[in-house]
Amino acid sequence: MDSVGIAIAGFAHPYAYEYAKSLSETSEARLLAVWDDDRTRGREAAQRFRSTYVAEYESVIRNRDVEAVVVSSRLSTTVELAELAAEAGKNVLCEVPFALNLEDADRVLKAVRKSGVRFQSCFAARYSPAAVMGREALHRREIGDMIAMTGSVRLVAPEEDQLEDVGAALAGDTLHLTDLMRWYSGSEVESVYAVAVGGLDVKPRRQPGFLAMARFRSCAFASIDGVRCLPDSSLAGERLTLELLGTDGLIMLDVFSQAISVCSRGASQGLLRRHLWGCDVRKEMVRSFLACVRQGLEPKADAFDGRQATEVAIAAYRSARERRPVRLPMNP
Amino acid sequence: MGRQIGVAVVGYGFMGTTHLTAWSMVEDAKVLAVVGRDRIKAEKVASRFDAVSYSTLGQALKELAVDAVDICTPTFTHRDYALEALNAGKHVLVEKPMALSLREADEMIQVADAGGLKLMVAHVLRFFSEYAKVRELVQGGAIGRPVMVRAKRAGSMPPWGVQSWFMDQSKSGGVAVDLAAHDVDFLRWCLQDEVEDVFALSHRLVTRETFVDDHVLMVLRFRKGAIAHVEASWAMPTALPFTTSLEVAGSSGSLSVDNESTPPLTIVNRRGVERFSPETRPWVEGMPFSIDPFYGEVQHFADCVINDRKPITDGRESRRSLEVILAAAESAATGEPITLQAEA
Repeated sequence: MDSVGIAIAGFAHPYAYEYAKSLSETSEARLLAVWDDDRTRGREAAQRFRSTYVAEYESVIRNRDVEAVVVSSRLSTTVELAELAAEAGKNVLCEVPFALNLEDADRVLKAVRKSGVRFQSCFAARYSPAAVMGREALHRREIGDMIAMTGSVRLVAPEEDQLEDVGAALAGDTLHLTDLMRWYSGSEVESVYAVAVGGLDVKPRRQPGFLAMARFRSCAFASIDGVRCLPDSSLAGERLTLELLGTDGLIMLDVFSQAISVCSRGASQGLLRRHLWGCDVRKEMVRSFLACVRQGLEPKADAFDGRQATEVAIAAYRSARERRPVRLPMNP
Repeated sequence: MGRQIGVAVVGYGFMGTTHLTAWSMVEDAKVLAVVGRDRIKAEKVASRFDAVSYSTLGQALKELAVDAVDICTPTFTHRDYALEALNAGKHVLVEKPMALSLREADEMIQVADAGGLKLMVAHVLRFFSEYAKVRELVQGGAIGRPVMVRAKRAGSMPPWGVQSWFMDQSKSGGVAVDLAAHDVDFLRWCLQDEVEDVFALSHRLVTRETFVDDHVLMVLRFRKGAIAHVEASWAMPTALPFTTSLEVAGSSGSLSVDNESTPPLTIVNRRGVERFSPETRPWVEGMPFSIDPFYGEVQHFADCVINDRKPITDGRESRRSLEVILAAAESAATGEPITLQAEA
């Protein structure tokens, strides 16, 4: 089978470099083009991953050899880029959140459904072998009926300019947990109550995220902690933990536990850094996307999943602002 | 300072015997009586601590030179025992939570005030070395302005709790009121801040005769802006050892401590996993007890009684913690966030 022709649209999101690295290292893909509205960043990335910088996005999606586009651009451009790619018949691997409101999320969903392309939302945790095993154990009823989920997530923050755009996007971290909980429980969030650190009056760029409490239709309830509270989260490394309490037991998932902590003499005092040695979940996610494109399979997490998690984040944002629980689905 | 203070301990269950062990290490105090409804059981415990057993508190107070009463009974009996002791002119140390309603707490505070008596609630977490250290670091500015806290206290239903008053929400208040009481009180003290509002979700365990909330997740918003996630559970599988953890993240750093990675001794055998911290609990006779939290707690109370000092968790201070946990239980029942009244 031929390798998949790929283009990367935007390197604003830090994970774009990881996707590019995975794509450049596998024989299953050919990185044909790199686009970025920041020309310097785009050229540098193209050079680094031995690809070609293309200044016009239009030419990227017109290129017949390009079968799929990775959208990891500035959040304010994601909806349009994803929509154009889908309309041009390109499969899409899209960073989350891809929209900041439901109208935009639904636009993407509609374009994807109309064109019939594969659209995969970048919920990397679903590709953790431990997460898969835990979910299977849950479905084998090893812990009985689910009572509650407690999740905590700290990922790498997008660049500042991306943060400028947003309010709800800052719940980007919580999106990953929400998705994992939806995927585990097979249920949708019914209502959400959230608090934001320091209130919502601070500048968006300083908004460190949410602590959300959610009720699922399945009756399970959950706390979703996506507060980016570490002064420099890169020091302590990424974290994504999920505890599932059932009537007959407990499942404890720690997606980024396999790391080596290194102490070193840093700029001021001793620095602690974590180096992951376990499964590279983003690499697995990219590999799975390529398989979906080549074999015409449905992605594990699609545009609808991205939309649903986004809706929870939007509801959490509203809840934190209005200081009351918000019911889902939300009225448009 | 002259003689030792005479103490009557009410209750001979887990907390009663824990307090009795602690009292036995306090030089300035002597436990004179162990009070419990079942005289035979009370006698068995009393003899271990060289005390006299009584089936009623009134009788003990009548016959012995008791200065202070330590109430280690089920929560729903706290108010009655406390009022009986206070009305008899005795200082009171009462297990947490102090009562099941603010009205009961107010009665206790009022009677203690009227009699000029000490009323202390046994919020023992403030005497745990690791928690006290966290507060010292936070207040010392080690992590800047506190922003976000995660506190957890989770285990299976304690063996003495199965088939008992613990399982009855009307008697124990449920896991939010009984267990989360520890972390909620600690956080108020650690952050030196009051809770503005609380929202909680809980699981209700329904048995044949009764029901109890056995798992709760809550979020507290403090007035100065910090938020806290507090998890308290009696619903964990029995195979899992009792787990506590605390993380505080601030504007310039973060810290964490837990009871899983810190015990200097872990024994795994057919019974399961047992973690020992002899430094914080004198499990072995002859071990240093200077930082045993229960010793620290009763010693502090004895010091307050003897030297006329204000207990760190007196009635008023503890009432504030009670207000938060009762609000959490109410929020879990109604599904609405509860805003707390600002202190007048």
